[in-house]
Amino acid sequence: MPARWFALTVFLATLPSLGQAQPVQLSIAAVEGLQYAPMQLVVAPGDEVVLTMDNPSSMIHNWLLVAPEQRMNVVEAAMALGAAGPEQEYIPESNAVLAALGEVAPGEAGEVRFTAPTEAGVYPFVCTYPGHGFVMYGALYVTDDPTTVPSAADDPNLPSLTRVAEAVAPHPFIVEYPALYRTFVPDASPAAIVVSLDGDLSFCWDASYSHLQYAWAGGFVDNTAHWSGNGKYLTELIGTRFYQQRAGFPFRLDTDEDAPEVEFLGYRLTDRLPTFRYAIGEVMIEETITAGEAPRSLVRTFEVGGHNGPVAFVTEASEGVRYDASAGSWDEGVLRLSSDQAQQFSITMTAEED
Amino acid sequence: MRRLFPVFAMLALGLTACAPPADPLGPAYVVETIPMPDGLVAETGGIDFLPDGRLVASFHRGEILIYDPETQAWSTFADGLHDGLGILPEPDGSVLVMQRPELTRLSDTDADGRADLFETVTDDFGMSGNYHEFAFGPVRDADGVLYFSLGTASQLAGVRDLKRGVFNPLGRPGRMYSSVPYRGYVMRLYPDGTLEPFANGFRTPNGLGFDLEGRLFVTDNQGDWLGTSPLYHVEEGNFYGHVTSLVWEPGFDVDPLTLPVDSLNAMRTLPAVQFPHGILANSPTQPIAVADDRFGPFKGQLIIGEMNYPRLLRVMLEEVDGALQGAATTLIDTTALRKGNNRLAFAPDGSLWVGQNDHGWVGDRGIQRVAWTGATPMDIHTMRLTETGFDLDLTLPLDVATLAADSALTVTRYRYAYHRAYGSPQLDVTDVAVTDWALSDDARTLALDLDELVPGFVYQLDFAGVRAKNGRPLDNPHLYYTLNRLR
Repeated sequence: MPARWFALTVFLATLPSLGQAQPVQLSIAAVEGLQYAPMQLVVAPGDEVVLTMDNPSSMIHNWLLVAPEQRMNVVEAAMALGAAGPEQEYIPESNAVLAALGEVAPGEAGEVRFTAPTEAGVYPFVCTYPGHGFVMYGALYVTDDPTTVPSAADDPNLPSLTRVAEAVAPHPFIVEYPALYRTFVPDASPAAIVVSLDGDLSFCWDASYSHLQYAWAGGFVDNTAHWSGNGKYLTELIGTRFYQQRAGFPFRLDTDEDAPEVEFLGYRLTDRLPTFRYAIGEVMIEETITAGEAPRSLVRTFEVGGHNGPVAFVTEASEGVRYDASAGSWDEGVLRLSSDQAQQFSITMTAEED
Repeated sequence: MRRLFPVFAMLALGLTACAPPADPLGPAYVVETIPMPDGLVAETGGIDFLPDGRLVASFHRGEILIYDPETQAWSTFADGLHDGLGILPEPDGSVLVMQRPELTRLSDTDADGRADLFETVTDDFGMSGNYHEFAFGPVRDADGVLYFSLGTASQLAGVRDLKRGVFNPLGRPGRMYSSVPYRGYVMRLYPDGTLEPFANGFRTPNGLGFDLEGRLFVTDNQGDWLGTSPLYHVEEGNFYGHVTSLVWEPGFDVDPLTLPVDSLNAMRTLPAVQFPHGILANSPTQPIAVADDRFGPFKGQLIIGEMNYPRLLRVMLEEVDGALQGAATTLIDTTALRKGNNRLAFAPDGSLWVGQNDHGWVGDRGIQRVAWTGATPMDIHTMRLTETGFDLDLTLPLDVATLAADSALTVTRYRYAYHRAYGSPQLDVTDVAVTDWALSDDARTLALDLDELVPGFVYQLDFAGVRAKNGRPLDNPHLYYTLNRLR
């Protein structure tokens, strides 16, 4: 039944409404805190519907109308899209998806036209961006008698305020910056550390390899999906990457041969700002990353202790940033330092204009 | 001596809480719910007590919080950690946390109440990125040596492109798999930092603990190669039956799933105790030894948490033919206790604190405190195999009249398959006749003769209507003895 009905919906949705009544206009917003406002919508069976969605929130959202009881199945199917998710705007191919409005970016609006189900009932709508669907959903009531719709406060088909609160204020304290999470993120090893300096400028430092993997601006992370249950889903990055390492572990001691073995020793927090510590044999390296003067720039301050020979720091041209150093000299993307210079120096990475 | 237990208990409670004398027919244990801070999703991964008596707890979203039982105030010690499923305070005031990627030492070097130094104690084990690769422990022996365990990956998800550790394709097939080093192992870490594989053959070993004699016990979860959930007595070099971790044995160069099951079965060390799935437990967790007499009459025995039922389990072990085996029952089985009983710790006052979790499966969230009231429960204190049946030592004298009914005791036996498939039904379920019984003069030991004793079976004893002389019904009337070896 849902399969055939879906086909019909698509057919109608793509035709001009020749000879039909004026469509019902619905409007909804994706608001801050992973919520729709309102969370309840009401139409009559078979109504032609035009739904517009504003997005005044700070994240991308979509809007999917799904068959009764199918919300979590669709949410899981969207997560299972993996790398194909962004391209499909997290809309899975499923008979349970009855109508869909794809990506609506922050500050923008979108519109979708569909025919309401002919069968009365409660049809969930949900955002299927990773993690959002656990808390960001509502209910489309298809009924000839709107008085039967429960008040939002008593509606079991809506997310509980507790769950929404858990997603929005996830800890028993207010998150202060710099903030750090060890979590699973894309394009890093499972031993990744993500840090945001101010909620906008953020980076991923990989404890498996003891080096920076990438940096981004425009937000920090959304852990909702990773935290829901057993950790199957990755933490989502919020913002746009401007740096992606290509050179691997950057340090070379005495020689430019292959990258040395490195051991991650941990980190120290100073006013919540981490200083990462790692070792190449007996040589200790400390790395502290702060914001640079330009909007998308990071200053990486290093202290290399216990080494008496030359030190090299290897970069690649394709990493998306311009490098400047407080000491040493650049030689085709390689910063060359004496052991004295290497005792403390900084490298500033500034996003290249695009 | 045993007659003095209630008196001791009253004295002990009287000193700390001025409790009235316990009603001998009232509950033996009471459950209190600890208030949690607002905004905390209290999926509890680890709890223990600091040297100063405060509770330190690890939660799913990376918080390490400290609770002062005196002031009932919570404070934040650290945040941002990755799903710490074990916590262990050290004598120097630092705290070890078993995160997904590493064992980490957290220290508050500037004494402001918050950790500022996070030192990698060890990360010398692999991570494929599969979500099911949890890490559990650590526990510390009398010499300061640490033990922790590494869960296997699940076929419900793959591995990631960027891994940590060498990938071994021989460990990739199977329902639960070990494609990076030492998944499915218990590891041993010496104080000098040397880490070595200690024992293997584990699936999701979510619970480690020592008994009072320093023997290491580890629970595991029903699934492939585990017909039902077990408790293992873990010794160096043994293989405990879940096959995928065999790929990390030196020189092992075949897919272990291709080996004959009979060969694998011959290699494995049997569980000391099996917990019948769907009857007693579905997901047993941390074992903890009862250290003294402040928690009732079970000093020296193991208490074990359970995820799917509002229960704590109790295990009584004995050595038979050189190996440990024994019986499991419930310690408490009450809806006053929540489900999800993931972590256990004895408080300085002798009460048992229980950290609860659901972690995407069945369970609950929060922390509860279980205290002995001083009332002696009517329980089978010890269950011992004899040549003809079992001797049951009782905590209170038995009213022999209540044993006369035919329905007073039924005994069945059944076994679980060792195979690649997920779980096992009960096999060869057989009623076992009680051919004779005798009660000791003090009415404290019941000797049972059974029709037959067959190794490889779980013997289930179900009592009904049995009471102590003081009228107290048997508190936990179901027992499950894992009969690996005969006397």
